[in-house]
Amino acid sequence: MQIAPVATPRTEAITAATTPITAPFNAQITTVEDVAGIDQGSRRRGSQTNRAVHWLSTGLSAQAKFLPLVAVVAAAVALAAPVHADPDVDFANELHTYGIYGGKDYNAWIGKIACKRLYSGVDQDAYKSAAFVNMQLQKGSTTEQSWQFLGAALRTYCPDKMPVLEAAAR
Amino acid sequence: MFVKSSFAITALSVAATLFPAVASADASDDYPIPNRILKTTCTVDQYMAAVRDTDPVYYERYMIDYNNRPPDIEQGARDRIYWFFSLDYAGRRQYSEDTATNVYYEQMATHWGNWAKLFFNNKGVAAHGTDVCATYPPDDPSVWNG
Repeated sequence: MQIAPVATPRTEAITAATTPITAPFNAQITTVEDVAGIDQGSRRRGSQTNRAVHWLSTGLSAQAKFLPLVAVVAAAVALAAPVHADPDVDFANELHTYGIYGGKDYNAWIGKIACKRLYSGVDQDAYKSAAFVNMQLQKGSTTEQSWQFLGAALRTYCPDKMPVLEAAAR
Repeated sequence: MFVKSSFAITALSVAATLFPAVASADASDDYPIPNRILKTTCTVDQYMAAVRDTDPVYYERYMIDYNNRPPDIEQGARDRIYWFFSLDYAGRRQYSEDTATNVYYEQMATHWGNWAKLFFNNKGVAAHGTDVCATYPPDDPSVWNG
């Protein structure tokens, strides 16, 4: 769940009421963290990790020490947030904004193969990559869409290859 | 009763021996090996480089399968497909006939069932690949690195 940085009139009013007028910008960030409830808590009450380590180093038996830790890990696995569980979904959603549809898995695979071809040197530059992508898109797809697809693929699957795209833009 | 059914079974067996050709598959000019592969003048490397561009997912799947084989099987498959491509049309057509009529003819297939999938199993892939394969370098061993 992302919290939009742009404050609506309503949240602005709440922020103004609960914080000093001298630092309205900082105050608004604090409010966002309060809602997220992550960093703020650890800063106020001391690091939970530190306290756990300290507690583990006291005189309990090894089994008694690690049982709660196991429980915490199990809870973390069970309650893992499904946020960004599948980059292929994000990739497909971005493609939709360019008017590129088709199978999610197919498009994801083409994106990953485009990365692989850059790594292996089958495609030496972004022009070759874009030509490769264009061949795989539906007939009638524009050159612009090929470049948009390539940009999304590199951002999603191989960000370290973004300079290849930037080199072509110069 | 038992004697009666024994006779029936014997009669069936005799019939099966007399008419064995009824159920056997014959090769055609497009089956089991696509016509385009029988006729192409491209090399193995040219064809593979072409399919890497025209049907990248199909190529990728084949290479994943290939890379999961032990080295001697990989080498065997490579040698076998180069041998096949060294044949002329008549030789390839005969090979197609031999594999269609005898499942044990191709020994490579007993080690790796899909050893020639990239070449033989899909007419569409064969057509896309052979359409453009002549534009690729005849000798490019990097096609096996996918």
